[in-house]
Amino acid sequence: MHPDLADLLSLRDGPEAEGPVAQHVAGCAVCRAEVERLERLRSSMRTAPDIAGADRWPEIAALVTRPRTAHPWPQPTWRFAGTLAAIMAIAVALALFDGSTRQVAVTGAAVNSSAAVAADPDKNSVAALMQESKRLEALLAALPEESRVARAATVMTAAGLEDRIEWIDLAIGAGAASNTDASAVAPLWQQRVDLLSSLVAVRYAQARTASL
Amino acid sequence: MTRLTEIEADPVLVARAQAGERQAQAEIYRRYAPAARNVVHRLISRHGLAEDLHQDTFVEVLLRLKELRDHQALGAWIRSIAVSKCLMYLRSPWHRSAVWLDQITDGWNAPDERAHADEFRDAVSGRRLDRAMRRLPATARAVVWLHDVEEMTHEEIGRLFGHTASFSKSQLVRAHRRLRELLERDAEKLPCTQISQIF
Repeated sequence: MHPDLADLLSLRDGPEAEGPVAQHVAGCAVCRAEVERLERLRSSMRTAPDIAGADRWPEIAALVTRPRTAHPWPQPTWRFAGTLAAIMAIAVALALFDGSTRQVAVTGAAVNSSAAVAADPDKNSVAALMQESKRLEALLAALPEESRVARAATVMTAAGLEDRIEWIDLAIGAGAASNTDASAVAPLWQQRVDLLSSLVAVRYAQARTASL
Repeated sequence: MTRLTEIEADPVLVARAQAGERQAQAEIYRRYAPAARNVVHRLISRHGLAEDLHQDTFVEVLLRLKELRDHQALGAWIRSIAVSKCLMYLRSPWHRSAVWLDQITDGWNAPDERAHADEFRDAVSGRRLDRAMRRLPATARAVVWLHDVEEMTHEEIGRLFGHTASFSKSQLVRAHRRLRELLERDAEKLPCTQISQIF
């Protein structure tokens, strides 16, 4: 039986040349041709020509020398995220009491679980926060798409939360690139979890309003 | 293709730029802009938008340059900012709307996308590969580029997307499976004399 594409890619990229996949490929013309095709593809991507573009230095220089203004939205704060999460938790609790659906339970669990992570110092590690972040993103993906008819304030709240999450991602990415100590990025991951939790609650409220 | 991590760093130049010397900052832009443009344009297929993100990247780089401790890591640092800018856009509601618009226009190529494709006029195979890459979903395209060309590890890519290394691995497999389908489909439309140039 031939190895799958994931195995062949691992063989192409990995240092091991004596494992079972490597042994199979050494004796199988079909798989060897596939690995060679993957290598050619990678080589073609790496040798593609540079992309031409305009010189934007004058614009960049002007933007860099301009006095910096504050972001058009308020910076993420614990107080804001906490308040919003609390409001939404109450709304979700009322909704649960009101005859729940699967999504209500899901959202309630998201808010409660996030609070549990924040409350338990043992779970407050970067790994736990990353895991919680991933779980909340899966919940967001499971929620219905944003409704076409929605209150402007709700849309703005969701957009504001998304903007803040993006800024935190930028900061986390920059920290990872400069090998910043994991403990230094933990507060950023905590903020990401809090904001995602709020976003789940807002999106849920939006979906629920649209379904009424 | 020039890659950001392959450009030889000049610690003296970086120190001058950090001190606010405008000529040194302009020189950093001149040295690193072409490689940064390669990354941004591979992740974002819309030419005009990619140019804006490229400009934003350098504004961010120069505004935050004093934060850079390891001057040798300037290329990797610029890449991380460029990639973050692109991923921020791909996650935004604006991008989701654009994808929706692309779906309803179904196959209509925006003029600036055609301009982007024209950059690859030197080789039939390059054009086909470029076209196939642009037809990949944005996340899969970003993962295959960051892994296969930028040589980032699955762990690094997973972190950028807020996921694990497994996410990156599965996206890479999906991207290569789709690339193979697209390139083979392209090959079926070719006269037999050009088949040999297909991957």
